[in-house]
Amino acid sequence: MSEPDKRPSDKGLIARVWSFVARPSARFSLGALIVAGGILGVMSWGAFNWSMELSNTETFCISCHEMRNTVYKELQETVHFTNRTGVRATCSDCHVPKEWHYKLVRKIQATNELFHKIIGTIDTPEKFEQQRLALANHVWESMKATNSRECRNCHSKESMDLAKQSRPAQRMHKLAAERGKTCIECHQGIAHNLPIGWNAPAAGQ
Amino acid sequence: MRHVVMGGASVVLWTASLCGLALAADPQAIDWSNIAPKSLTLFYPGESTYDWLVGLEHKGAKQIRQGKACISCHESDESDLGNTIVKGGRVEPTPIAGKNGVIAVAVQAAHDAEYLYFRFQWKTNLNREGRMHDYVRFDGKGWKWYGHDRNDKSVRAGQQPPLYEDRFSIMLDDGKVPRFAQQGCWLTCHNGMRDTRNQVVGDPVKKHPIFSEAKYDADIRKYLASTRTDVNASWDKTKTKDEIAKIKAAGGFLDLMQWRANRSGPVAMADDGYVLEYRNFDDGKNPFSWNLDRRTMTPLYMFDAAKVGARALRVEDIGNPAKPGAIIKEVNAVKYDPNAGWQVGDILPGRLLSRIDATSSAADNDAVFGSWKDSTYTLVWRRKLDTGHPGDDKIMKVGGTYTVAFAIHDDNVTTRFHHVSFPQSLGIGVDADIKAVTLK
Repeated sequence: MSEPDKRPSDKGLIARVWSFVARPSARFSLGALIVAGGILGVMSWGAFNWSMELSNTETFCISCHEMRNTVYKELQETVHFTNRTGVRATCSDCHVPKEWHYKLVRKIQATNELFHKIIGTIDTPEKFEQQRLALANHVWESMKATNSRECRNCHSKESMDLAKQSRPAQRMHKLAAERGKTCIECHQGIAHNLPIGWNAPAAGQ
Repeated sequence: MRHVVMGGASVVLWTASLCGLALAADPQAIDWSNIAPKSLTLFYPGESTYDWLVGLEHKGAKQIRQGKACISCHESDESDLGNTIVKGGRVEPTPIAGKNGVIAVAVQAAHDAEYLYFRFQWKTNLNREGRMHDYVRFDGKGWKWYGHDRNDKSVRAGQQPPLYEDRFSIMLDDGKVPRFAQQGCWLTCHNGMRDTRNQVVGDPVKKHPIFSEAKYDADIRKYLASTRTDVNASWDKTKTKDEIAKIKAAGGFLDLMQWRANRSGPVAMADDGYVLEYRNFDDGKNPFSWNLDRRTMTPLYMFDAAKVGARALRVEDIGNPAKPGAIIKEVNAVKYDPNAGWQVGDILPGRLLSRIDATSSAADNDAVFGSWKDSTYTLVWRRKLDTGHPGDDKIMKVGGTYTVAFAIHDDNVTTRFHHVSFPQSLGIGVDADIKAVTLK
């Protein structure tokens, strides 16, 4: 006696899904499927980008109080927040890459920050202060590694007119160029308070 | 006998035996030609007090408040800064005509197991040593002050000659004074001090609960921002005595040593002090004190004519390297005789020096030799790494790295009319801005 054929319900989940997807539609025309697929694709892509952009907004960044009451407050006191020309740099302008693939990597990294908020590593301004030096060092290192890429979204050597800068700024920018320094190596603390011990003095002991 | 040349003239100072100098510890005996000098540019800072640095006029105020280093904006800027400020302007409301903006100093350092040694060389603006200080002149009736610093009203008005000692100062820290490695002596310079904005003198000082004590003068001198309670570190917003004592006990003070061409140089010493709530002197006795009762303006000692050739100087002797600039109790002094037939124009130093009277921590810098030749000072200096006085000295160790800052008072000036360096790291046998090389 031969073994009876397996019925669809006997297949595994993956096999059933594959069978459904792979089976030609007997109900919808190819054109309808393409149009529906296109619409769904655009919607999905839009939703993805919308969520990416939403998570780039200042509102999103300061929705947790350890950001709102610390670094955001400090940013408001700086030239990057209020200035003569009315150009404002907000959190993501300095901390999220513009290029898509770098941005995606950064967003994935950011989930780690959310994870640490959830598990309570940094979920209060006090804990943030305790970690500020390590966090700042991390940011500075990554900025240095990218040649201050996010600074250069707005600032470029080519469009910088040294003659219009103050005398010390002219000299320091020349020195920095000669030494191959990148923006963040001199401009730490330009938008936030510097952590205690960020440049520990010469220790005699 | 050891002879130290001051201004080209041999002046018998002190014997090697009395100095207690073993040859190995004599900074004059070191072969400095084998030690590479570090060139520093000391510049004229004008009235750039700490208050000014954190104020609206200073573009880098935020960076200063954040604790950033002066050189983060002003690296290699000393010449421009000094030459600009010295001409007068927003940080120099009262410029001194003819003053130089910068002084180049060659710094060499060495050490052995016991001592740190320095050698400094710099050119002076004036074609003579500034070894005159607090002189008094007999006017036929009594003794009156003669000469002042160049900022004094009487000197600016041409009524008195510019007479004030040259100085070389060292500030030293071991990392316990916050921000000294970044901002150096600017942490100690504030509005309200002598010759600064809103200078405070007399009653307001002596009525202050802390400065009413007799050990403080009736004016404000260097102090650390850490001893004050407000952001601007105002002179009168002091922490409590207990709080200040705690900062001191924790080592949060700056060592400040000054070689003084009149008040310590002639006895081959530098003074020893510290900056905390005020510019204090260390425990013990300095090599200098007053040579007159300032209430009656009566001198205490005069020159020993048998040794010096006269009981007093004359105006024309000032600047003559063959004549002594100071009265040294154990070398060239005898008790003042009011009936010695004083003539109009006789001049006596208003300060009395004594090496043998100097004691304790105030006498730590006991082998500091300065000479002036062809408008150039050469100053060699020794200091124990561990003075044994941790209460008011910074204790150093071989292999340690410290922070130093230097200042020169040149050409008859005092207070802020000096030239200063940005802070420098000093390595005792290890690499730093200034490396004290290990003597074999």
